[in-house]
Amino acid sequence: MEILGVPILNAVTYFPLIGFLVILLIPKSKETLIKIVANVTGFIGFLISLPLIINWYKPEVVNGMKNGMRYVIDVPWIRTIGARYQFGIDGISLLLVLLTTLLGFIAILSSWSAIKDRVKEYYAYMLLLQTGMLGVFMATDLFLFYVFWEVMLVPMYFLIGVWGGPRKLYAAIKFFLYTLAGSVLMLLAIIALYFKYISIYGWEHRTFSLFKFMQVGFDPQFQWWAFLAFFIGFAIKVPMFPFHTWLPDAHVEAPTAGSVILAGVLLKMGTYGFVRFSLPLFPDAMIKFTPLLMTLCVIGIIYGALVAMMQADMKKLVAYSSVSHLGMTMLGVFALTQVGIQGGVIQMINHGISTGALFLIVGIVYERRHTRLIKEYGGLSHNMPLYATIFLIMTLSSIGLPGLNGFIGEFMILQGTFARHDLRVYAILAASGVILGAAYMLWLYQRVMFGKLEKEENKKMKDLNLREVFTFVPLIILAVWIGIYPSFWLKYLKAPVKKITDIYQKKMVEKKVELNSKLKVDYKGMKRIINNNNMSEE
Amino acid sequence: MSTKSLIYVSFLPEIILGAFALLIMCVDPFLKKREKVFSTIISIFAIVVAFISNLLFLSRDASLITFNGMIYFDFYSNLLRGLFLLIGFLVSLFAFKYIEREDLFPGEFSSLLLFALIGMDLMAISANLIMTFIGLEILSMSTYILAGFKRKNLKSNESALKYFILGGVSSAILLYGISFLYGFTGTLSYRGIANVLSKGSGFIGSPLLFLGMGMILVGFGFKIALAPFHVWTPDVYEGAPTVVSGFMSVGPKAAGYAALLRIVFQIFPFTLPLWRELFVYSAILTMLIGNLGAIIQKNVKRLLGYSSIAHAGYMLLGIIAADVMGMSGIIFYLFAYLFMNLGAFGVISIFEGKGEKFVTIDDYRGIGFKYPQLTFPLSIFLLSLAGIPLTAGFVGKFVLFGAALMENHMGLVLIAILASLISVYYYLKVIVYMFMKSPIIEGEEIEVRYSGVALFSVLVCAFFVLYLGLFPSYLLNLSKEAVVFLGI
Repeated sequence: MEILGVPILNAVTYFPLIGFLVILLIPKSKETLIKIVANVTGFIGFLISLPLIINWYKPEVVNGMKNGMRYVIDVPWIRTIGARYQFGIDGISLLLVLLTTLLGFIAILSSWSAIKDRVKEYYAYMLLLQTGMLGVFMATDLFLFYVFWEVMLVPMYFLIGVWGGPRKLYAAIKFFLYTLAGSVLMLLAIIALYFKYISIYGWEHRTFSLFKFMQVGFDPQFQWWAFLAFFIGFAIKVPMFPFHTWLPDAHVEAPTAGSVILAGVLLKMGTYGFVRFSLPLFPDAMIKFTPLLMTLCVIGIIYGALVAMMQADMKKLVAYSSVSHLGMTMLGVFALTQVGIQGGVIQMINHGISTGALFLIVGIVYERRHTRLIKEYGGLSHNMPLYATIFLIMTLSSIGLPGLNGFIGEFMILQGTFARHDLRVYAILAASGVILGAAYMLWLYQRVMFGKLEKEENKKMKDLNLREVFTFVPLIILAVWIGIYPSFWLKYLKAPVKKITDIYQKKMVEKKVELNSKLKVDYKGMKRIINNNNMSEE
Repeated sequence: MSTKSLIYVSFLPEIILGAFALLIMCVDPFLKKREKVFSTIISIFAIVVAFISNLLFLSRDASLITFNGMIYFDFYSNLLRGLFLLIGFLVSLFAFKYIEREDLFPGEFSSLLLFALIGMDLMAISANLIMTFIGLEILSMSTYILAGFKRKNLKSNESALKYFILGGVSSAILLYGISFLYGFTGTLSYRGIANVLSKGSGFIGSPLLFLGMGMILVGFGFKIALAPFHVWTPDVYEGAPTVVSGFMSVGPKAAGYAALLRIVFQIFPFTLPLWRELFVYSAILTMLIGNLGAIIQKNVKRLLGYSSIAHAGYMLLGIIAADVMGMSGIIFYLFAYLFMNLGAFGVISIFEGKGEKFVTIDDYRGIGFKYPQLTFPLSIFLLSLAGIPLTAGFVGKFVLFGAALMENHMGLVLIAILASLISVYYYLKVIVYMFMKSPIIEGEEIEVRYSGVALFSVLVCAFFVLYLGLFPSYLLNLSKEAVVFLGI
């Protein structure tokens, strides 16, 4: 697949760079022109990512599949160390790429009136960030992946540090150092994998390719170390429970669009990393660490929800709710069952949609009133009916009301976890997070929207304008679409997730004795459930 | 080619540099004040000619020893000479307007720079310890004077004096070490000493031999600014004229590494475990001291001084790994370091204004978006120094750390990674001040004046930092080809 002779994945990834270069050439004073160029770039960027899904089942695309990846680009890059420029997407990356292009466009659109100074630089960074994030979801060469993973830190750092709130410097540096510390450990593990591969196949076959590494089957001892290093890198990004402290700071200080991107896409890079790299590369370590990981997820779910409930700042509340939701996502992924991982991935998308929308919602009142304290508001539904409606839909989507997207994800995650007998207790504990989630979100809604409209400033607040409504429309459509007809999206996930679970089924069969004695897995029952689910998916 | 002409060919760039340096000294006194620029132009011309002659006579296949056994004519010499000439070229470009602004003497500056380049070349191509020492002295003498080039500035004088006294002592130690080796082996040529050492196993255990080796390493440790011989660095960099600090942070360091690589791998391969251990401790100390010291600095020149100590430490990892990957990593890193550090010093020399007034981080408040053509390249240099991907610094560190990891120096690599994480903090601090803080009195950012030449050289550096970050293959291969001649 090509667009104007450019391989489609390159086109999708680097199109924002064209907008970036154009913006650099426009003089600073022509702010409107800059905004238009940025918005158009964002929109076209989204449009050219659509052929990815439209052509998904075309024979030429299916025939071009390599290692389960479509639209593959594979050329040598740094020959000396064997790094290749290797792009390719499967169903999991497809959904995340589409989410990124959509949220990137929405974030740019939402900044029209929110950003008043240094407009040119702001949009330049936004577009640069877009390219970096897309690269992360497409790279299948670990060196290339790492490069994108690190590079997108820089524009995000500037977005928080320059256009952020009062404590922006602290938040920006914390964000940067925290993520860097984790990812450097990951880099160490990547180099270790690289040398391990060389020690087996020789220097001439040096490579960073994920698929080559997957064939190796590293010994368990080595897997544990490598897994831990990857784990810290990804867990900081997600963020999982003990590593989450950078998130509320970064979210609260970031400008609205920055928060949207941060919650919607950046955090997904961590969860995606687990699914793409940790799960297939380190199956033994994964099985070994499952109880620990599950515990961290459950703590994250409950702790995040409890802390969210106590927040006085709306944005901080949404930020902590992210900790809780992402704990749920990771729970599904670490359950290592077909349904669980699918649920986890679809929950990544859901979280991007609903939390992204919630940050936009907070941003809209913040732009009008310049405060995010919940007690400053109340009764807004009287003069902002449209806003109230959208807020309600997104609240319900976030807490997982049946018929909306959140329900599908959470249900599948809990089902997938419950299917493994040894993990039932975690599923039960995690389910309480859903209740807590409903509590803090509905309470927030009640305090902001209902009651009497008392404050003078609030009475003057205007309802949404057309541009603002338009930012929400695609998100609402998607929320309902996933809620009502999830199999449209789930069908893309089936094959890639199956590839992962196959590894684990084999491992669990191999380790039947060990698992039965140590972890008490009812693996027959699990297999039955997995098979049933597979059939029901058909 | 006959042997006789080969002698001149192998030595041609140095002859050119020397001839032009002398020419400048002869011509300069007769130039009027306005025409003094002319001598700078001559020196740039000399460097370009030397570079071309270096390119014309490459020795990619064989390693020849010419000039009565004094110098190597091999690709390692070619590549390193190219590196030094690049340093000289960029420094002259940065100095172009700087000298005029600070009211210094272009003639003396240019000829001293050319002499320093000759010294650096000699260190890299030498095949004999006396030649190495002479090269080191030519380089050192020139830099002593350059450091104190602002005669009327107290700090510049302090800088020169400190550098001179400590440099003199370290040269003496180095010479003493060389005399020990001579006493043992009766020869000064690298190969000769190695031959004797490899045969006469009786010498290997002798403590006096180790003492000699240790003294040589100490001498070079001082030039490269390895801990614990680094103490002079921040003071000297702070006091010296900024362009000279830039030169000192890359030039002598590169030359020191070039000579050190030859010496440790051609003279001392038999005592590898011993000096490797010394280097491990030194590397740990160097990286930690450099980076921790830089955190508290307010003066940007001092900050980069400490950071340059740390970078010398990273490069040691390549020597410790002692394989082709590590060696070529060092050469690649020297190139990367040349562009990023020289670029950073170049931007600083522009920002500081006449009389080097604005050199604290506080002065950089709020200039970020005002002078994007300078602050963005500076950010690139700093991010590259910090080792963020897509920059040359990342690839360099990747290769160096990777090489050390391959040789199972896990603990050392972890410390190196920790150290570079610390470094991210202070490099980012400069960026934070430029882009995210507003000046103490609103609207009173420093005024920046810059010439086209300076901007051009900054952009060239930035381009190469990014280029080597994106497409490092070519240079990595060249480095690999070069280090093969070290006979690892």
